[in-house]
Amino acid sequence: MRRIEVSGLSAWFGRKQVLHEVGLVAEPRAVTAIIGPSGCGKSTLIRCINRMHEEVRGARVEGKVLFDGTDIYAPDADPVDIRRRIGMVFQRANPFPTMSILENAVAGLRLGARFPRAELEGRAEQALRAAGLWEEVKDQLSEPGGKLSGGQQQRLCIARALAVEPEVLLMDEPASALDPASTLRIEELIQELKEDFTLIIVTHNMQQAARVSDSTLFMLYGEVVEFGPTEEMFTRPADKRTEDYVTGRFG
Amino acid sequence: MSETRRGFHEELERVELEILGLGDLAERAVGRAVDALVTGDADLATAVVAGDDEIDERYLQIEQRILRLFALQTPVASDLRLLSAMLHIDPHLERIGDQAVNIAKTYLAVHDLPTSPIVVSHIQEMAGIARSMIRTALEALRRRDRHACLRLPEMDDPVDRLNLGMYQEVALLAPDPDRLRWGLRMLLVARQLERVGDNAVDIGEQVWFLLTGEFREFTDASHPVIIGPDTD
Amino acid sequence: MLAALRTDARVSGARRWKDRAFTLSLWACALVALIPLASIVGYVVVRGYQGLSVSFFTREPAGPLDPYAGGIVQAFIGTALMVGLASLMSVPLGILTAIYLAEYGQGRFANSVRLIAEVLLSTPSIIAGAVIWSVVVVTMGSFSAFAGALSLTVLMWPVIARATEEIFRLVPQELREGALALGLPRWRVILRVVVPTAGAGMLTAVMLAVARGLGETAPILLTALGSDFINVNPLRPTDAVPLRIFNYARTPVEALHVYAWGGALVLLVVVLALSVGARLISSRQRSLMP
Repeated sequence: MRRIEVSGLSAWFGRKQVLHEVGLVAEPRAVTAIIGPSGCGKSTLIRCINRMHEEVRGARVEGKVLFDGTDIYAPDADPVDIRRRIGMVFQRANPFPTMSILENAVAGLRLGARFPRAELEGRAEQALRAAGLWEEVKDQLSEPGGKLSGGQQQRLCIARALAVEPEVLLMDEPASALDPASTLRIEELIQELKEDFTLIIVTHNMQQAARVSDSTLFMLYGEVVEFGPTEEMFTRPADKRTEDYVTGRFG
Repeated sequence: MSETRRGFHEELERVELEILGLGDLAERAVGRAVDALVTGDADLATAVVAGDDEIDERYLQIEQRILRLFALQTPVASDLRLLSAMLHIDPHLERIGDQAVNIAKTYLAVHDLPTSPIVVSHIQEMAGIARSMIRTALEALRRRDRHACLRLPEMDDPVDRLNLGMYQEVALLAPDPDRLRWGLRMLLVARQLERVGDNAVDIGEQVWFLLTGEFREFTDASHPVIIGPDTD
Repeated sequence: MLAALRTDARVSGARRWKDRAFTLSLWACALVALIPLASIVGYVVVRGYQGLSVSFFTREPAGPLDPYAGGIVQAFIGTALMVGLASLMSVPLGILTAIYLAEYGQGRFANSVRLIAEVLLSTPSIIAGAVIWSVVVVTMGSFSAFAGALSLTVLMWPVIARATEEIFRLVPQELREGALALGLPRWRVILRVVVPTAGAGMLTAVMLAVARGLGETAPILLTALGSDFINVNPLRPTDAVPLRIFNYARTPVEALHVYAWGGALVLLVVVLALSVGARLISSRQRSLMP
């Protein structure tokens, strides 16, 4: 089971502690959203789940993140392998500028250990279809990735993340740099993707979290305030701070 | 532009189908209750009373689904008006179900008493109109039909008249005490049917709001009181 | 209202004149700055043009009876040999240093390396020559093209290292993160994403380094000595264009002066081409970066 269980997670940037004993559970075939005001630590949290946080100089993590029952922070765990199995899509689309659309889609396979060249095109098509981009780009696969619109570039990055066949997909504010129409397309895509993946999404847009997620985690100042089914969070939140945030009384 | 809120709109359609289904159920309950009274079928009347559980349950489920859509989808414009209209229509349908139960129970209370064919035929006539009003209101919603909305207050007039006329008919039963007792109960039945008509008109008001954005009380067709975006 | 209008006209009029005066004075300064450059280029072109001929490019120096019959081909070959060798040594070293500094270097060691590069960048080139002389020439017992190339390496390596490091820093961090998040090890990320993205920028750095190496005279003087004959053996003394210019300039022979100007012209053209080319590439590179 591709469950993610975070418990007692604390993180630092140098001496500054930004996460305090955070816990959450992300179920497979479901979308878990993380919401909270700016600076509450939601991006840091999600970057701890695929061990990207520690790439920053001076960054430190303590606690457990169980993936499939195994702690990804165990001393013998390989961060590179973990990042292949737990993929990530970033806030601003970051296609590789020197590569074509096709090359971007399969970058994770081409640049990694040996991968049979003959299969690359097939995998590219698969990934681009899964990201809902195939029809729009199938005739311009050799064009540079940077030529696409913002929404298309982001879907290209999603395809790139999907091509390495991860089990979990982390999305750090995937639509916040996009126009409303592209945003809704990404949300539809998220609903499709949840059939096959465990999805964890960070968003500063509460209505988006309400629309797409099954469970929601609300964070404040590096701590978990409330975690539960999304419908509960938006109809009868248990904590007053959640109520205040969700109704817009603060933050 | 392709439809991007497909999941939400599909759920909206499903809730609307649920409302229409509940409406059919309520309308049939009224019909069966009156049939039981007309044909003297006590078992049918009992079935109507038992069937109200299903009406109540569906009413609550629809209520919850609508609330969930409000909370999670932040609807706007016509989506918002549709959800608001359905949220108001839902309890009206449930009340129609209750009125059917009241008719059935009233019949059961006096099922062994002698009847008067004139009074029975009045009730049948009222029931016929009331049921067709429910159907018209549901059609107005299903087909987004403004004219159907406006027909409803017109259809309500004969129901009100028949209801008033009932008093005279029952008064004529005075010489026969058993028949009179039965007749007085039939006055209650008539009032239930008159309320069914009122509920149908209220449903029509909600559909009118959905279609025009105007809050309009159909007090009667000749003296409408309009509250809309231009009035205050 | 009329009074206000009058005031407005006065204010904007005065301001307009101030703007114009300022712009004019800036233009004048720019022109003044251009005059020395233009006069140098013009002078070299006029004087050096006469020296160019087929024999200039293809023959070794001739005797004093007919100097125009010879040329300075050995200087061109020698410069090519030494700058080529220096590039072979400084380019890989410089790029690897840049990769280390940009991608891994945050600690004390990295800062020291960076400091050394900065110092070498501004070191007078004759010191590089002197050091190589005492370390290599004395040990080997003879002047050599190899020693010359080494001294040029000392001068070219910091240019490549620092310029390339800056180019790598310009590659957005989000590209590295995107590649890391795919489950690629760091060295693959650097090799297959950062370096190709930096691509043309690295070429710019190399071109600038070569432009520096071409023009250095003092270190060549102390390490390669010079020669009148073509030499391709890196272990023997070799001639170089700037060195030949220096030597010819000191003779009283008019023909050799002409040849010196010719050499100067060739050097100027090549260095100018390299610098302008580097500039063009880097501006195109900048327009590609996200």
